[in-house]
This record gives sequence, structure tokens and C-alpha cells, in this order.
Amino acid sequence: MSTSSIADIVRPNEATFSDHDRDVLASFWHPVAFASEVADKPLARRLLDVRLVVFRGEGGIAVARDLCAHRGASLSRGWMDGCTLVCGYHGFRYAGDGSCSGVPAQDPSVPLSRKLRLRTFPAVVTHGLVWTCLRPPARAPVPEWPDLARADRQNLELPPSTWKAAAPRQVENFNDVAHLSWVHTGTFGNRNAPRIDDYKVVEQPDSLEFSLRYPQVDRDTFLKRENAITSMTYVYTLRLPFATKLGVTSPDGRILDIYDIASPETARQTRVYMLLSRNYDQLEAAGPAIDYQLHVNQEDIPVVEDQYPEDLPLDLREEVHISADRMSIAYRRRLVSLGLSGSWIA
Amino acid sequence: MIDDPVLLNDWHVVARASELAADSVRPSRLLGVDIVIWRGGDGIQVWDDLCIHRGAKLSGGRVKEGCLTCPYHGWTYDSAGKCVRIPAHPSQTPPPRAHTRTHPVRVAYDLVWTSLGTPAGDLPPFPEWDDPAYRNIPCGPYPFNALGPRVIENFLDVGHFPFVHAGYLGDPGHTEIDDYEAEITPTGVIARDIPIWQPDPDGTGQSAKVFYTYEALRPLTARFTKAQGDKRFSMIDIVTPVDEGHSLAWAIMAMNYSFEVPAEKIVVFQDEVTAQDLPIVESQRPEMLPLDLQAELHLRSDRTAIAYRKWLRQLGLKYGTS
Repeated sequence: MSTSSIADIVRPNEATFSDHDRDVLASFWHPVAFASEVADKPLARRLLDVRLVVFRGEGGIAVARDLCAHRGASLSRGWMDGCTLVCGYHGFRYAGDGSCSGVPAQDPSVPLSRKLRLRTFPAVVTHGLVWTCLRPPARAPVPEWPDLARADRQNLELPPSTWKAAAPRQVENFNDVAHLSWVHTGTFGNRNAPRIDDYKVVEQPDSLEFSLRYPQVDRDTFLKRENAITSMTYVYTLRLPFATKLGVTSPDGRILDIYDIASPETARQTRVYMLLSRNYDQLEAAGPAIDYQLHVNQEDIPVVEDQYPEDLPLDLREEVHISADRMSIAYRRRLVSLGLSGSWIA
Repeated sequence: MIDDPVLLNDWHVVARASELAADSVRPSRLLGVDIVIWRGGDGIQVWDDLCIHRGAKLSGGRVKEGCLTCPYHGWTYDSAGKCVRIPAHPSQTPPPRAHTRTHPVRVAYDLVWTSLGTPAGDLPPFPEWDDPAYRNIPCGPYPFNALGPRVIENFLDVGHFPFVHAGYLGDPGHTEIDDYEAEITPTGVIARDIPIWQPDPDGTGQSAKVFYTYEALRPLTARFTKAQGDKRFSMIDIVTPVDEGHSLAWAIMAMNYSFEVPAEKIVVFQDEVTAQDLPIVESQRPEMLPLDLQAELHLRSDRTAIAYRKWLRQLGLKYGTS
């Protein structure tokens, strides 16, 4: 396990995490883009306060610190020349492995300084997402999610969105069931079924799981019936720290898996990557299903962005808990056991 | 929360009572604290805008049957702030800790007053409100990107009339301020009968000399009465300390003349006067009013400001001062 801190690659005025908590989270894989977003332009991204550039090099997609070693310019302001990343300031050229392959201002025969290279991070493309780990070796592998590779599934990518909220608040909300009957009454929530039966959280080494039934109101595409109530089975699997699969199964065997991966840009801002995976309606346009999920998210966003304190209180005494909160209690405890202190703001 | 015992234990205006319809709920902010204001069958309530369960803002919720319901999980709070229903577990009695932080409420001058602490004193007096000889005309609230002490000191200042309010309250041809006295009293600051030459003090189009009497009633509340013969024009200015950078100025004008002039016209005049003050007050540096009198330069005509600063120092006001 790496012992070095990544505090040295955070601009001092952009530090929102405590160095300790940032280092804990930096030991996990987090998504920084959909692979489909990485095309002929370098992308600017932020992860755990660190500015990153994501680009397609010769050996595949590369993730590096968004900083030219020459004069500190942001490489994401540059451009791609084939598989070479070109700095927009003085035209320095970088390959996907971070090495500098050319300095246009000097004669090519002049040897290049060995310091002239990008700080790169491992990049893995899986499930259509580009994952990186800022402080390798990672404590846990990228989530496997074999259902995404099943032949009977159609996978849909939602356009990523940025929530002005801490990642654990976003994740806890995604795993919260008692709010469905209150916040989601414009989509699938059933105002007449607020009661949450007791459920059990199964603790695995890397994840938390629970399931329950929810009498969902179908106001849209799912069963093509308006306001019919269907008792769905929800199976939640939360891969720590921030990746959740929610499997929704209807009594007639329709399956919609919703993957929610919260990528912490800062302690106050989270980029949310979502995938839908369905075994039905596969010949139909993807637009309505994507729009529906975006609508569901729009119901959550104002509530979650307004929660106070902004950091998820890891000390359970700070908020009040009820039995419907078993998952949230378990999640908070597990975040503590990962080594997070909860005092996220430096 | 802004740590200033003087203001925490004072009353502040957070809404106009007549604008709070039955079963309405709205967010606001006082001394850096997000608050929710709502009206149910038991009247107006002011609480911290926070559900103790998962920290959601209650102001996004709804009022139903005299209770306020959290928008996140439907926790229902009665008018005393006690959670009486947790819909996820209807048979379970909500735990005693499931209680909001409530704040005292008073309604006066059609304004809703609250305090985040324990107010020792009463609301500032405005006797014109109940005096049948006067017509009361509310105006504002005016948002300032400035702190209360600067806003109030500007309200107490007469020297800026010919420059900031030329043609409105002052005459660039009459810039001199005659001498006057200002004193600190047990209840605040008073400066009596300051003579001012105004281009049109009563709306008749005639310039005349009028006499202003100013009072600071609370650290962030001041009033004046302008006298011209038997005509009296009073105005109270109540500044709400929203947070470290923002204020909200609520005002009421009271006049014992010109009943025929529509109130809207008088409000428009006051809106224009405030719009003239706004860029000046927002530009003042330091933003904190210096209570050390050596820090800025004072003139004889600044006697009210000098007394106000001395009084704030006596009170121990920290907010908006240095």
C-alpha cells in the first residue's frame, strides 16, 4: 500500500478535503469520464481536488495531472495531434505514458530533461467508464458488475451531471428508501405507501446489501401503464465507498438495473455517473428511459444540495435515526472503518 | 451562526406578517443561520431550517393540518416543533430528540420578529403605528451587500443629502450643516433638531428648512422624525443581519399630512432614495464599521455617527464592527 500523500498535487487554494481523508479516498478507483466522452479533445476533470486531463493516447485512454511540466499550463486547454497531447502554451508534446516527445521551440537534437513528463495515473476502462486511482495500489478492484456484460441486457449511459453536494450525501440518498414516497411523487413514488418494513443489511467485505419491496407507481415507460401500482423488488448493492447497483425487478420479470457512481470532484461537489441496464424495451428508443431517470434525479438534487451539514455526519449522534435508516447507519459506520475522519474540509 | 451575543439576544425582523398566507412556508436567513418561517393554525413559527433526521431543509416542505412536513421523508412537526409522525414507521413514537430548534416570534408593525437567543429587551418602539393622526407606509425590504452598522450609520447621516440625494433630500447649493448635539441615552442615541435645507421636503415643490431628530433605538434599528411646522414625517429603519455579507433593511414611513398622495408614489420615492444610497454603502471600506474613532476622520457634523459608534462600543457589538 502506498504511503505517500497526494497533498502535493493539490493547488493550496483548491484543497477542500483534509489531506487524510483525501488520501483514504484516493486509494480507491473512481470514474472520471465515460469512455465515449474521450474523443479528439483532451478533457478537463477534477477528482479529490486534483485537476486531471483525460485523453486518448497510443496505448489507450490516459489520465494525468492537468499540468504541463514546463510552465504549469493546463494541458486540457491544449489539443490532440493524433495520439499526442499538445500543450496549448508552448506546444510541448506528450504521449499517453506521460513522456514528452517533443519541444517545438528547440532543436530536436537537444536531449529532453527527464523531469519533463506528466504525472500519470492508472486508467482502466470498464463498463464504458474510465476509472482512475490517484494513490495506487488500489485497496479494492473496480466493481465487477457482471450483469452489465449479459447478452440479454441493453446498457444506457446517462449524461453525467454535477451535484453541489458531498459524494456520501449523494450515495446515501441513492440508497435511501424512506424518501421515495415523498420526493419522487412526480415519477415513481407512492405517497400512499410511506411505511418502510424492517429490512436487514448484509455486510460484505467491500459492500453493503439489502433488499425490499416497494409498491411503485408507474407513471411512465416502465410498464406502459399510467398510475398502476406494481410491487417491485429493489436490491441494493453499495460497493464502498461510492458505487451502487440498484436492481429493480417487476413481478413479470422485467429488470432495470440502475448504477449510480459518485465521483468526488471536491468535498462539496460530486460528478454523478449513471448507467441503466434493462432486459426489456430494447428495440425502443433510449431517450424516454434516460429522460425519466434524469427527471428522478431532478427530484433529488434540490433536497440533497440543501442538506446540512454538507458533510455526511459520521458521528451517529449528530442526527436522529429510525429503523428505516439501517442502511444509512451501516454506511456511515463503514465509511468510518475505511479510515475517513468525517472532518472533510481541511 | 454569527457569534455575537448582543445580536443573538435581540429581536430581528424576518418577514412581513401580511405576506405570510395561511399554510405558507418560506426560507430565510438570520445571523448566518438558515431559518424556516411558516404559518399554520397556531400562528407564525420560526425554526432552524433543518430536519434533525437527515439535515434536509424544512422550507421545501408543506404545511398540512397545522403541521410542517419535511420534503425528504415526510417527518411531520407540530407547531411546537415536536416531530409527531414518522411515516416510515407510523406505529413508532418519534424519539424525543426529533425536535426542531424553535425561536420566539412576535408580530408588531405588520412585521414578524424573532430571536436566535433570549431577548432581554422589548421590540423597538414606533408609536406612530397606532397613532390615528398618522398614515403608515411600509417599504423595502432593501437588500444590501453590506453590514448593518454601515447601513444604519448611513441612515443617521445628514451630510450626504446634497451629494447622494441631490434634488431629493438635499440641495447642492446648501451643503453646510449647522451645529447640533448628539447624546447617548439609556436606550440609545438621540440627535435633536438638526436643521437641513431641503429642495422639496413635503411634496409641495417649495424648498424649506426642516428639522430632523434622529434616534438609534437598537444596534441595527434607527428612526427619525422630520418636522416642518405641524407636519411630521417619521421613518423607522430596521436592518436584519442576514449573514457576514448581507443585510436586509425593512422600513416604515409615517406621515400626518399628504393623505391624498397614493402610498405607491411615496414608496417609489423611497425606493429611489435607497437606490442612491446602495452603491455608496456597498462600496464603503472597511466593511466593518471602525469603532475606534481614530480609524476614520470625523467632523462636527458627524456627531450622530460618533455617538452611535461609542454606543455600539458600550454595548459590545462585535458583528459588522472593528
